[in-house]
Order: sequence, then C-alpha cells, then structure tokens
Amino acid sequence: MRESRLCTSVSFMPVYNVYPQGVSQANPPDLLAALGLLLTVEVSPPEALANLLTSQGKPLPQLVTGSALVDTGASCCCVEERLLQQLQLLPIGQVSVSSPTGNRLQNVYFTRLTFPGSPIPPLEIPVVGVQMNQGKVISLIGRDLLRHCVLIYNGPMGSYTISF
Amino acid sequence: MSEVIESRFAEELKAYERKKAELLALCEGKFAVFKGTEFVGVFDTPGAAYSAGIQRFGNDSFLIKPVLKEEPVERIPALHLGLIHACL
Repeated sequence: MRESRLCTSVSFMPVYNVYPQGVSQANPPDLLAALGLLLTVEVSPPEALANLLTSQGKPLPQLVTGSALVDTGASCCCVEERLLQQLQLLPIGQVSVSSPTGNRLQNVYFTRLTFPGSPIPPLEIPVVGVQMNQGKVISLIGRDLLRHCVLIYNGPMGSYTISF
Repeated sequence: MSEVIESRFAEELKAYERKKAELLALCEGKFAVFKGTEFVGVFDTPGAAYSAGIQRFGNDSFLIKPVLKEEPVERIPALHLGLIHACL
C-alpha cells in the first residue's frame, strides 16, 4: 500500500523586532511606553507620477523620511499633509474624519510608503492628509494597513514585533 | 489648518452621484475616476485608478471615488483628541 502524505503549502511572514531608541538611560519598557510603536518611514511620489515627471524631464521631489507611529486606534493611514504637498502630490479625493466637533473633510492622497529595514514591502496606497505638527512623527499606520500584519506588543521587554 | 476646499471635487462628485446607482450595480467596491463631469472608468485598485488618471491628465487634479453604498467615516482619535502630542 502506498503511503500518502498530506502536503500543505506554508507561507512565511518575515518578522521584524523593534526596540525603540531614544534616551540612552531610559529602560526599554519605559521608552516603548513613552514613544509608542515607531517605524522609520519614507514617503515619496508613486511610481506612476515619478515616471511622468521623469518623462517630462522634471526633477523628482526628494523623498521625506521620518517616523511612522503604529496606531491601532486609527482606521486609516495618515501622513502629514504639508509633506504630501511638498512631494507635488494632489488630492485624489476627500473623506469624512470623525472629530469631537463633528465630521470634517480631509484630503486623500495617493502616495508611496517605504519602511526601510522592516518586512513591510513598499506600498502605494491612499492616505489621509492630516495636520500632525509633530516633527519626527510624520505618519500614522492605521488598521487599513495593520489588517495585513501580525503585531505583538511586548511591554515587559520594551519591544514589539511586526510581520507582514 | 487643512487646505481642504469643500468644493474641490464638487463637479466630480455630482457626476458620481448621477452614475452611482449604475456603478453600484455593476462594480461595487471598485474605484471610479472622474475629471470634471467626465467619467474616465472603473478600476480594480486605487493604484490602477491613479495610474490611469496620471496617464490621462498628467499631474492634474482628478477624483478617485471608491464605489460604495455608504460613505465611510474614518476615525483617528490620536489626532483629534490631541493624544499624539501626549507624553508620559
């Protein structure tokens, strides 16, 4: 009798362990609690726009680097609007965003987000342009992106793990 | 303050409303592109819609409208409650 073996395909999700860096004397759990889940992010024009500008002989806008805060409370990804405009991006729509004073319209932009050193591949997605005025934090990673991720917050170790 | 102009896509949104029932019946969940009153087409992804818009209009304003029965309301409490500015 021939033995059959059940074969299953296995997909691997690369895992990225993040230890926040900041004040050197702070212990990791305090640092993580204070800073939150931060990832380095690069914001740049989508490929279609980059190709268009190149074909027109126009210079490509400099990509913008900063920190993205993983925010499980946010339903969508957001980027500082001033930077999106700096990248010569134009709104592709508007969306209602809930606020204590009622819903307000915010511009939506199509942009390219890259997360250097993380397992998240470069993404071209719609993001909401917002006014964070936070300096280093230029983006929020919301649940529209997190729906593709496994996220583990390790408070006692002061680290978090993300896979995509 | 946001540079949102309430009427930025007014013309496109009116064109969408006129076509909404037809689009919902045929391609709910996809992405429609409008420029002014012109309906460009429907695409499977926002990326495909964006590429089509850029190819057609260059880096000029056009609307990519998800074809949905109800308009979503996004929630970003860290921003509107000012929590992003908080520190322990």
